Amino acid sequence: MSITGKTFSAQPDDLFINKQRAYTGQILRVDLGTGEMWVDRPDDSFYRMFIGGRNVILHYLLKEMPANADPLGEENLLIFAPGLMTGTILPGAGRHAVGAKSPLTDALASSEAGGWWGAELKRAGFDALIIKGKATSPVYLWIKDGKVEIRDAGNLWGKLTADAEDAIRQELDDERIRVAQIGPAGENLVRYACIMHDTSRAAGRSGLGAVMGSKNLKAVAVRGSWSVGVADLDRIKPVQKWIFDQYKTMMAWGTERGTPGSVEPNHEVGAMAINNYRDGSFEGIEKLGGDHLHETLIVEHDTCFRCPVRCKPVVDYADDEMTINQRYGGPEYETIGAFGTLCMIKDPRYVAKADELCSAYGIDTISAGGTIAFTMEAADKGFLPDGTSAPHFGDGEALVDCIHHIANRQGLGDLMAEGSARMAEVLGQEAEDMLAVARKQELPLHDPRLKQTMAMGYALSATGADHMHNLNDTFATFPGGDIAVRLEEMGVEAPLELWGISEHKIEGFYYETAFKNFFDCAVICHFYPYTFQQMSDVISAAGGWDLSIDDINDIGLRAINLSRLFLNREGFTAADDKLSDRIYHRLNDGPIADKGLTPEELDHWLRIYYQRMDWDADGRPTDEALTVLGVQDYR
Amino acid sequence: MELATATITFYGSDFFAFEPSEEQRSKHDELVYSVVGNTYSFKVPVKVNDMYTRSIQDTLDEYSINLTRPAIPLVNGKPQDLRYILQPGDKVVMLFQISGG
Repeated sequence: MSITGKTFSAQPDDLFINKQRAYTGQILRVDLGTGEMWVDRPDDSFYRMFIGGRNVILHYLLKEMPANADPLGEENLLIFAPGLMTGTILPGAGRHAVGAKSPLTDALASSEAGGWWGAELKRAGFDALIIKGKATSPVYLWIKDGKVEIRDAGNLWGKLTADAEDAIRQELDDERIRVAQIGPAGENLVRYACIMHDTSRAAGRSGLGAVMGSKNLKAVAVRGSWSVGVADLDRIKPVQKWIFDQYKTMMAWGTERGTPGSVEPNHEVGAMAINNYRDGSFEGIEKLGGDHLHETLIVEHDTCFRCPVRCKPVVDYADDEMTINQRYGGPEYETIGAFGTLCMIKDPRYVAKADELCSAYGIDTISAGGTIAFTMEAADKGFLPDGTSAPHFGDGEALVDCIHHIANRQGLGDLMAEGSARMAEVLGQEAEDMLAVARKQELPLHDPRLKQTMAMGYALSATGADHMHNLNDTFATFPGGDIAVRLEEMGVEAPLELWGISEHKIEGFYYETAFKNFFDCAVICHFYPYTFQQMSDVISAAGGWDLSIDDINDIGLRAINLSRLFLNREGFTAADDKLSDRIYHRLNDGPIADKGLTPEELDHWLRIYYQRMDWDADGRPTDEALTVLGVQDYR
Repeated sequence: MELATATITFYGSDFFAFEPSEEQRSKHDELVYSVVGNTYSFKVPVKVNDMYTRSIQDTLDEYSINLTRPAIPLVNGKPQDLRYILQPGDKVVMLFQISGG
């Protein structure tokens, strides 16, 4: 049944239209199997309890998606969820979350993206977009000021993201349309395909692009003209003024070098992963550092909706061997590590080219780098089938070829598109020793042998290894840093010690991960140094409520507990809270030689954390824990 | 008697401030501050006696060396936190950190 041409219209409530409240009051529902569209209109208590973002994603996954659904099947839900603050005047609130059940991990996919798309969806009159079913042929959604249309995407299927964005804008005759879309990698169900926004901002992790591809949904184009107001402008303005006064010093790193500026310091301190987690230092790191990249490749910085920092690197480059299109932005710290140090690539041009291709094809750079490094080691050790054309460490051209092959599932790329954990299942037990994953997701570029509380966070995360809703051990040691300030607000002595895990650090982890999960509900950029008190002010101001700092903490705790319920429902237990064996191997050289956790130590501290969360010995939230948070009906 | 010293180094001037008042400056004549190109080094007395030792944070505070951005010390090539007790001969390099990724 063709669903193209179907339309729907709904208007946000008067308080939103009159700029008296930050939520629109309507959540758009689309069934791509039938073409049916409608809106949910939750009451005020829903918004007060969940705020948006990850909590909205979890609400729908737990209430409406059946347990053990196929992540690439019709029953999976694909949820785009801005937060309460998205689109408001608060700097750093131009983001939105995207979620589903992950085809990479079979657990939760919940990833956030910057740019303008999330704010545009709010301005178009919707707090979230929830998609189920599968279209019989490629389609895209066109949303403008409360009106929705399902349109044919046959001419877009197969296009790279910049080409597809151009075609949509041309077809709809509006250059200011914001586009969320998949590239060919999502169409080809690469298990770590991402969803691209504005061609350079990814909802990167856990394979959300493959979920979108499985639904034959190429893109969601949005345009909105409502302004997102708040209930109490006077209560939000002091926070806005504070950050405008502070960002030039507190966030100067972003304006100056962006995240590439942290490559060399993180290498010096031992945080970067090198040679698939086997080496402690990388000769020539300065070529991948922020200074060199700004001298040779990065021509400017871009920014997101209402963000004054401008941290986003933009590469524009051409020589006799390659061109790199600035439409696709440029590599961030994680990408430089994933394609650079992890794969032993010393020429930054190839790192930037691989980054560009990932934005064009729609691929998560962290999982791509982790999978390619795993493949390089497998090739070196002779684990790949005879006759396979395999990449080798340090070969920049091979790195770039890998991205093409993964996106198009060509040759060995077809197996690599499954991710390193599934590759290892095919290659055998010895290959599993080369993995660096948690819950089948490749680790970010923060070595858990140094950042040991973050290691615990990797093991616990419902999304698989993730550095965002986590605690950064090195940053938490700084007195006066925003983590220390937040912990002191909650009565935890700060800063935290660097090495090891302790009950003191678990207390810090408890509050900081709740705050980061709150950020992913609100949905606010993690780089902003806001406090619990400031967040209680701005959330209260946006929604017309009076929330305390404990209420802010509870919003984050709801996300953590609902995530855990989702894991439990999908069959995960405490036994799955673990890291790959490779992470327990000590390095022989470099700043963190001989450092690290043992599996027994990790297990010990996980159990202390379960107790702190009021979870049982198998890591399941107790009825009491859920009741305190008002989510007892979600089990 | 010559004091035992350690060295604290910053590569770049953008994540610390060293602006002691005249009164503060007179209290720590033993501090040796040098600038070579983009390298800013402080040679500081350590372990004045067994009863009186100083952490990196204590030392920074005492000599009015203020970190303006989050930073982590690398002591003799190994990461530590600011509570590390300085030992004679220690070479400390301050490395800036950002929160997210």
